[in-house]
Amino acid sequence: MKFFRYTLKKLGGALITLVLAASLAFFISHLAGDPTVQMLGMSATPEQIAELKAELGFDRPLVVQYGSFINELAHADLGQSLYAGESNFALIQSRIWASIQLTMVAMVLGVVLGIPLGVYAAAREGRLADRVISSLAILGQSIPVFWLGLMLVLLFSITLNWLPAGLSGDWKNLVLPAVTLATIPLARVSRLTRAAMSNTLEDQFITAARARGLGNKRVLFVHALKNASLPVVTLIGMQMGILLSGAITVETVFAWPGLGSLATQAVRNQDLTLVQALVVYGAFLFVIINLFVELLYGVLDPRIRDARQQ
Amino acid sequence: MVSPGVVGFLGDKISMENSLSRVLDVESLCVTHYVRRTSARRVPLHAVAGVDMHIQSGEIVGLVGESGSGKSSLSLAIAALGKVTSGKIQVSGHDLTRLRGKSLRHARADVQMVFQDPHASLDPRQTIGGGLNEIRKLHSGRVSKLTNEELLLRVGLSPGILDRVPSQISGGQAQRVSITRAMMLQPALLIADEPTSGLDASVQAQIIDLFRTLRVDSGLSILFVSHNLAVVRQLCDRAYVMKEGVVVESGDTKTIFESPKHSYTKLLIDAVPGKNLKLAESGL
Repeated sequence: MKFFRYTLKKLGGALITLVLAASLAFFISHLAGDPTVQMLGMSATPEQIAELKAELGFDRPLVVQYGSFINELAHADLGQSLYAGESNFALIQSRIWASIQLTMVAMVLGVVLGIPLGVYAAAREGRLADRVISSLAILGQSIPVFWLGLMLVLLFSITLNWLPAGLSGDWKNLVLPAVTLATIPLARVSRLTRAAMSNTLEDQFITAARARGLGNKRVLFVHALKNASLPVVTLIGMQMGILLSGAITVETVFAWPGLGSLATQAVRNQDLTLVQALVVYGAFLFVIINLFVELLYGVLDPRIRDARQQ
Repeated sequence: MVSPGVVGFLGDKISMENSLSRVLDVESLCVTHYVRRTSARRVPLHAVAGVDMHIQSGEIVGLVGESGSGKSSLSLAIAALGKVTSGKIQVSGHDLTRLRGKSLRHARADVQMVFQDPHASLDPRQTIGGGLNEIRKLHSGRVSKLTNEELLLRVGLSPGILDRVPSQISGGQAQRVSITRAMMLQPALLIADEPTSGLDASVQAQIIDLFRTLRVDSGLSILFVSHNLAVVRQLCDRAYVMKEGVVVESGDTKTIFESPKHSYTKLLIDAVPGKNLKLAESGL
């Protein structure tokens, strides 16, 4: 019963977040100006423009347009693309697989390397290894990904001719964009893991675990990491949401056909409804991932589980 | 102190011979930390500056002094958890300062520690039973043959808590769990670092009683680190008084408390609330 109420509360919050994000997307994209002028070109007569406006419903008052936008969303309808003439849902569906592929490979690289690096740095706090890892993490976080992407293309595609510079195809096309994209979660995950671990390692139960004769690996990876994992799990969830809703720069550099390049096209074409649909889809992803992460908290920390049941 | 053939806490026989041997021998131990003061230079801080100490089997020995006197550095060094700059620490004849890696981890089981904050010394994500099983797996050779349930009953805990995590038990219960974890390794020496100062007065008295029972039942040696002189007087056979890294006075608890020789010891005794140590007499 209590868990039911807790879930209900969370779902309610998620719904409010979605509506707010959708509203924001609606009003901001309508600030960008009239899309019909762009669609018909400079030579269009005022009559033609008025006709198109009436056809698309842009001649109605803003509040009415907003109402029908929200109404469509409530019926899980993301609308029609102004430019492509297809449904926005179909467009997103056609790109989502490429985004999932890129995100998953980048996240796995970032997490599988980032967590052990962070743990190792925390275990050697203040020593050379820690300084090297921490400096590299700051560097990784500061390098603009478009620059890094171009440098990797220059080295591996143009100079060495080992890997293709762009487009999708087989796994070789995935390597450069995924490695470039992975630097962001890698740097963030390793930095946060180090910080969380270094706090946890000062706790008394760590000394107590060593006193019982536990080996260093077990102390670090079983006792300390489990207790330091909460902020790291949150960060991984957030990164996942960001990357899944489109890695705009990396996808543009490598001409990767994911949601990021779809978003770039939509903006360039003033495809108002597609931009809105992409924002709503991104918000939806974030909300779902956040719900999942919060459920995971209860699994990771018995204290949170207890608090929920009380 | 312990009669031959007595069946101890963990169900093994304790011989008279054992009870007379030295379990701990510390010789001119120094621990120097390098700390950054205001300047960028690191200044040496002599936390322990040449301490000699010994403990016989079955003895309860107090270690008193204010915070910063070096008590903690000394006890961590004895438990092979802290730094040793120079000197010797022998536990049951093994020099701990010479051990590294796996043999060090095994030797650590010989000296067990019970910490001040009972909740902080347990992993918040691990069930009580999980913690006990972890030790069983790790030290399968030396761990007590009693089951987890039997072990908990011996320290006055209900086996029902095996499935709980630390946040679901009280401070007194958590401290008993810490004691169980330490005792199931059948250590030669137990270091109790302010084990009662985080607990309510009534629970303190119960924990003190438990230490007494452990000593009688299994001939355990205890180094009892505390600034609570009333408890030290009640519980300990002998005591060491530490100040600024050196032992300023040592001897029988009774002698130290009734006729302290060093001015610092006098100061500590005078600082006890209720100067006549009424607390001690009231049975705490």
